[in-house]
Amino acid sequence: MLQQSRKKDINTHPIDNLVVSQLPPSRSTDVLARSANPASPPCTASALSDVWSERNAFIGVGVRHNQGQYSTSHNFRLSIWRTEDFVAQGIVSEQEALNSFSEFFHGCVSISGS
Amino acid sequence: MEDRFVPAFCTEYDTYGSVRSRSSLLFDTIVAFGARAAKGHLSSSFQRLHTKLRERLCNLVLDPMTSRHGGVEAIQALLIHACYAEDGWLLVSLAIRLAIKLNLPDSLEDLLRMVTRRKSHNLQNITEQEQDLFRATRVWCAVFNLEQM
Repeated sequence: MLQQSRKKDINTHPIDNLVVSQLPPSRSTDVLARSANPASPPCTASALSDVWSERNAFIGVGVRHNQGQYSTSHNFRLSIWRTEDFVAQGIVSEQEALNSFSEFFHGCVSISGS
Repeated sequence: MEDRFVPAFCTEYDTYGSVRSRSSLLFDTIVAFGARAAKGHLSSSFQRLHTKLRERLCNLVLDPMTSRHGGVEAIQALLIHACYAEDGWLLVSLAIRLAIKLNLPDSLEDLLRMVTRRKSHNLQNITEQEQDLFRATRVWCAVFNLEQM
């Protein structure tokens, strides 16, 4: 059911039409650099996910390799449309977000779980 | 270990990168309330983040059934807000409705069935589907517990 819900979510987004220029500058630079390498795959969604997971920049946890295949590309598709977070908007720095995130799991023990 | 009476997260799965890739709402919520834990609820940093977060939360409350907001992550975000809000019951009620929409109440039974089947076949490896069900069960139990408080 959860999977169905997520698939329904991603199917509403025209990710296949994504172009590099739509990406934030840092990521588009990465993608362009990679696309310039003949050994690299073309700049498809899968290729972008590869770049991001390698660099750990978007920290594409949803993008996992499964015997050489991108087994959960739908998770990657979701991630693109969810970049409007505090860090992406520049409201907090990456370091501040990391600190706060860590603090949440140390300081908000009643709901953080284990 | 501290008392974790409403565990809604798995520290191994709900990591910084994982949460950020899955849901900006949940990510921002954790960051905001992490800032509150670090600097206090009167701190300017928390107040600033909370104000921005409130708009997102309103969108979720007013339009909870859209696919954009749906998902276990939205429920987790609601739980965090509920734990720190005076009218948290309202948010928990919404979380319950979202959980029902996602069939989370069935997750425990499905998980037990799957574990039983796996053990009957003497299989040791936990499947990804089993892990998903475990996470869904955890969130459902957290919502249920909070609703009963």
